[in-house]
Amino acid sequence: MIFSHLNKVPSKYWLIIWILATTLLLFMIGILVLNPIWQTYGIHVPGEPNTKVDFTYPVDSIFYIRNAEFGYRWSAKVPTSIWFHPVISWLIEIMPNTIPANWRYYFISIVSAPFALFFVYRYAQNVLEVNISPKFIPFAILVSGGLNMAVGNAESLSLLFNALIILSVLEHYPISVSLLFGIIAILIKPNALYMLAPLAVYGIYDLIGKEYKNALRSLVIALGILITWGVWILYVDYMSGQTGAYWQAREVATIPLYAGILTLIYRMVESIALGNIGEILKYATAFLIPLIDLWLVLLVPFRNEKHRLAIISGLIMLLLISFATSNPNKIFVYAMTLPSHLLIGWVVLQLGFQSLLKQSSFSKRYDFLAITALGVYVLVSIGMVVFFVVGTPLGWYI
Amino acid sequence: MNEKQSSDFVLGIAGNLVASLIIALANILIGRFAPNFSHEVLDVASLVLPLVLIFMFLYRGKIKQIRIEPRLWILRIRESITKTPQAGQIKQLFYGVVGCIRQFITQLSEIKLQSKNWINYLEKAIKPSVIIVTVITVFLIIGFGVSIRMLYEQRTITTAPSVYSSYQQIYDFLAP
Repeated sequence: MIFSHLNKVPSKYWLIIWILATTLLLFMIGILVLNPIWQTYGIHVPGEPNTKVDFTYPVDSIFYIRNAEFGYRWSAKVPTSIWFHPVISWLIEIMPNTIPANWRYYFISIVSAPFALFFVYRYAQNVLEVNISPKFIPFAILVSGGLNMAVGNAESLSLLFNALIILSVLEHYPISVSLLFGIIAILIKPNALYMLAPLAVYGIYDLIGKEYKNALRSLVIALGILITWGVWILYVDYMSGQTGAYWQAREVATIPLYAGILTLIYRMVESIALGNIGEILKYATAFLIPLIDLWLVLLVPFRNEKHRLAIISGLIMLLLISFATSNPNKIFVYAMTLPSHLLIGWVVLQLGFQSLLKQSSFSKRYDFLAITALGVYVLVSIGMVVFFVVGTPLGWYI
Repeated sequence: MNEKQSSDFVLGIAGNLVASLIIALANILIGRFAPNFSHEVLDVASLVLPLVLIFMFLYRGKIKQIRIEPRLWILRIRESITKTPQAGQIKQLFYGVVGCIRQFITQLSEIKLQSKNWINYLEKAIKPSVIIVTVITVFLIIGFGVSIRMLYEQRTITTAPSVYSSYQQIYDFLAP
């Protein structure tokens, strides 16, 4: 009965249906699976021994909530406050106080997820030579770090605005709107910096192709991100009454800041030798996720090579920032703020399944590669799901 | 329609990945078994060895055509010497050896003409994105090789200060 009704649904609505179904699935997983598991750990949130970990505010989320509740504590001596950019705290603040702050934070995350999925899907439609079936949207949960969308997080909103930045360039949005996306993105999280490299690639291609207006658009967004970031840094310094307070706070979490190009790799080798499972997994995921994406992106059929180069450049930015700060923390979930990370996952899964079911139009050699990539990807994804479920409350990747 | 076949990229990345793995392995092994050499010698040696292997792989078609048959060469020289009067035997021996060396060098010089297979591989696989991904992969793999060697040389593992080992500890340390 239900299936016969579903068959009558026009194909244009399937995208919305699958996105809503994915959001519902994320909500159910958060409440019915992750929350009970994490409560059994009985672990407190960072810095507050009396506040137990909850699926609405895992990892460092509690500090966005505290910034909204108590306001910023403007001092380099309180880095757990000034580390965090303001948009999410502002959003929590403007929502009704009758709702607990952690649920307001979770609401922002879970509402951001479907919009992020929609715009990343649209990005995929713009750049791919193949059409991604909306049926594959729920597989976003399997993509490494994708399960993060099921809990309170700042990455979903960051992903949404990063996707909008790229779409501004691809779909030629008005420059003022594009600039606004850039400004909001950097005020959500510094992860908007990853977008600078793809913007540079598109800008250069547009310059060569004499599409000056679009090149200008890329430049304006990039400048918007950098100038807003600079203004925020100055504002934090001004409010803290100390020049360099923003960077001083960040230095605390960096291990150590700008220690040398090989420091991050050396620390990983050292961690393996020491045998600390949590540390090994943190470093392994920090290296493997961008590296696997870099390899898999070579398998993805794009309409134009500039899209492949733009994605590669974004992943390089992710790696470069990790290397510059010698910091592997949270790369596992930060990768999810790159729209390309999700896109690669969808393509690999779809092409792999098509090749497996002999529905692809590619050569035999490509089919073999797609099936191999699918096998490896699924195995890694399952590992990452387990890593997320177990590692989040234990702080393995933070 | 993008003319680039995605599967072509895989040829490039696979070949370069194997190369960088060999470089990293050589770096570790040479560092492990010859720890008294200077770093420069170790790094150059560990780069040269894989390059020789890669060269042999790329030109394998031509290398297979080289016929190294010392017995035949000696037989030919001996025959030419025995047929020559005693007074000219040294001269004949010299000519024989030079002839064999020249033949061998001629065969080697022909190697510079790459096999068609390799040209095809180059055309297909070497593209900007492959080069970039390869450079990153090579950097990471060599970085791991060098780091492992550095760890061996130090012989001891210094633990990181506990407060810096994770954000969780930093938060607990700093948060109000």
